[in-house]
Amino acid sequence: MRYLGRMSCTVLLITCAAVLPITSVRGEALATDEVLLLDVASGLDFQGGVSLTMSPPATLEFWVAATWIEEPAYDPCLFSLEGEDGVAYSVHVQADRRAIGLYAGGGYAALPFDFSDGRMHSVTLVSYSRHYPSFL
Amino acid sequence: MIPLGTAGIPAEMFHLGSVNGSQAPFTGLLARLRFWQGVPVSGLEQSDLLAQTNIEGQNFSLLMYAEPDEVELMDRAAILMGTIEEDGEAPADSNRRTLAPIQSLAD
Repeated sequence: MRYLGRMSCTVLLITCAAVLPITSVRGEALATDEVLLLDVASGLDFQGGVSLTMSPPATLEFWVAATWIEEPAYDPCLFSLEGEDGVAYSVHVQADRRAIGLYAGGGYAALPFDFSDGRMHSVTLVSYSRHYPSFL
Repeated sequence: MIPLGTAGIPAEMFHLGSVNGSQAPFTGLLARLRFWQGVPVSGLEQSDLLAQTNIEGQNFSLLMYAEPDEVELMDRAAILMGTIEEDGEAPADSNRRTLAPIQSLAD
């Protein structure tokens, strides 16, 4: 369990290294038909909603593998939520695959973690601050 | 960090694999994206599940449980190449690295 730091609200980031075969933190196995392959041409856009805002207390979890070889000129984005005023939050694996970061509230914070093995890793992001009405 | 613009973007959009649908595209694998109401220390129940990605076969969906009227179901099989071959190789038309065999993934 590792702290990402304070941003517009307090966020706790937990990363668990995992190597294949994949077993989640609850002991469940990941089936291959649960794995989404993403590349430059495969981004998906959805209508947003309250369910996705991470209003505290809230938890976000996912499994991710960063598989690029050549380092891009940007920090690839796993997913993002846009509000009416722009990007509410976005989660990135840094270009060098040595950290995962969260953009929110006009700030960006990164937690060092080695994703360069290209394997699946579990990430849990917790929004627990009650000092702010919303993670956004 | 990439510049994140706000001009001309639609309100309340959720993007998988990018910022605002096109910037900072991600190359890799994503699985079991889940949004929960609550934090682990309080014990999360299935009823706390707000939203999750769901990939069955070649159909991909983002299910939002808290707002049943807004459940989004999208079929993007052609785009996703979401099926990993039984021998663990990525689809033949992809230049992705070899993945673990399917049997190992399911163990």
